Amino acid sequence: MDLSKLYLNVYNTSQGFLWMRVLVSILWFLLLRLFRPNNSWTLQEVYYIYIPYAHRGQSLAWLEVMHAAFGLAGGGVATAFVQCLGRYVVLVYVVEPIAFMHSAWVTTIMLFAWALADVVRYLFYIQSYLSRPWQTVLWLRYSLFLILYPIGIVCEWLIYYFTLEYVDSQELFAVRLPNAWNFAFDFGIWNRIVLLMYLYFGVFMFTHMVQQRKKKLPAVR
Amino acid sequence: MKVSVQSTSGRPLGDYQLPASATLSSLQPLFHAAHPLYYPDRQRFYPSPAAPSATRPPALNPDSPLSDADVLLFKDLGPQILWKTVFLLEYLGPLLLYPLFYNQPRWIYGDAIHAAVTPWAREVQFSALMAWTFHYAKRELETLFVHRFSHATMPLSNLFKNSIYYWGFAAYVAYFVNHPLYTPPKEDLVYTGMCLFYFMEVGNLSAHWTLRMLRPPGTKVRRIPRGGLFELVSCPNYTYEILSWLGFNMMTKTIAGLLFMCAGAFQMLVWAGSKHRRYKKEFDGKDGRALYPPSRKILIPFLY
Repeated sequence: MDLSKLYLNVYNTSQGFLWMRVLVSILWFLLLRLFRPNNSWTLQEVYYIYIPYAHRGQSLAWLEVMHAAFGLAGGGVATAFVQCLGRYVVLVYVVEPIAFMHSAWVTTIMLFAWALADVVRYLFYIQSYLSRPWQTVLWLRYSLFLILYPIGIVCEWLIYYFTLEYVDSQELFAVRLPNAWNFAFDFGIWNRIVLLMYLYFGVFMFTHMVQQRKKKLPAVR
Repeated sequence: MKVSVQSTSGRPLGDYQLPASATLSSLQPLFHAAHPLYYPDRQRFYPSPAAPSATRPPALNPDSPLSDADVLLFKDLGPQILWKTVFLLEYLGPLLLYPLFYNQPRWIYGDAIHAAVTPWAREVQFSALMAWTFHYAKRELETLFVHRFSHATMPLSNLFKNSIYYWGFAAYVAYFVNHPLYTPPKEDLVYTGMCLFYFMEVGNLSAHWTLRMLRPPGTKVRRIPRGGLFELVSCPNYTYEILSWLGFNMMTKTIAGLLFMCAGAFQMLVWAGSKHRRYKKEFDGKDGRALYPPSRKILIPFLY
């Protein structure tokens, strides 16, 4: 195994573990809720359990932009960048700083969708590098997104929407005039623009992935 | 000769009788007559691929010769618009929007911002207005009188994409430079920036003029550009433009302006790269063609 393959396997395995950790804690939370509703974790508790792993995973994911740039992985640099940016910003700059989102269902559902999709994806990559991925894993990789991607996108959209008022009133991350570089930034305005962009790009990315699926799963119509 | 046309999905689109040694340009008006929606600028023809599953060969151009019994594939490029029209419209936004921010601050910033702009700040804002207006007025005049446009068209959707870029950035930069809370840079920087800006604008105009003079009208001559900064770089017009925006930013010192400059520079780098490659490919020194000067760089003298 040459160096780049070794590196990629280390990367994919680490990510696999991180997101598996996130997935397992959310699944356990859901099971407890279902079968022992009186003795279950709160949403906030499970959030504080999985968030360190999700944060590390999402931060590490920036490397994937480099992978695309240096030909270590397929896909364009631009797509990798936009996807990393989208998830990173919503996690680190919206969910994490805003406390009332820690106990919201949308947050945990979103992390569930991300974790499940990523566990399958990294498993697929690991199997692809070692030999050939199992037929089931291939199918899951290119089919789960059909429900997980819409769920993820809707949750991200709602998180931005629910936090608008807070961002406005707290002037979160705002940069105001006057200053030497005549620069101003309003996170509230930015998030509203993002809300609009999600409507267009969300649909665009989804149809793109459906096309990919047709190519990768030729047995499917 | 007889030539047949199909759509890319195999639907027959007619057979056409052409003179013995016809080129594509003879077919185009006939095709338009049979299909009134597809005027020649919208037409794109390809020769049929060697095998049904082979990749499509490159498109034909109007001079491509045709042979009897050729089967051509037709593709619709969608509604088209002249390059010249797009240029005129997309530069109109910056020309009209920016002065609005300078002249009618109450409309943009409202009455709530009561800050009084210092005299020096207002002077810098005025100089910026002059520079910006000069740049885009020059672009409009170049579009009308300097640039030689062949009858080239582009898809209509490009007009909206380009206009959003130019008009959007015009509003974004104008908002910050003309803001009541604007902080101007120091005098030295402002005057240096202003000089750099106007010198580079003149350079850019000279590069455009050289390109215009490269081909006498009515000929199809292709020559290597020479003289001035052309000796050092393939696209000095882009070099000059990036530097003139640098001058503008030295004069105004806003992040918005810098972002605009970087966005433009990035795009120009890409365009310059392909232009440079095209020059090198065409002027390869073989078969009596001139050799493109090997030491000439893309955009940055001696470096890149």
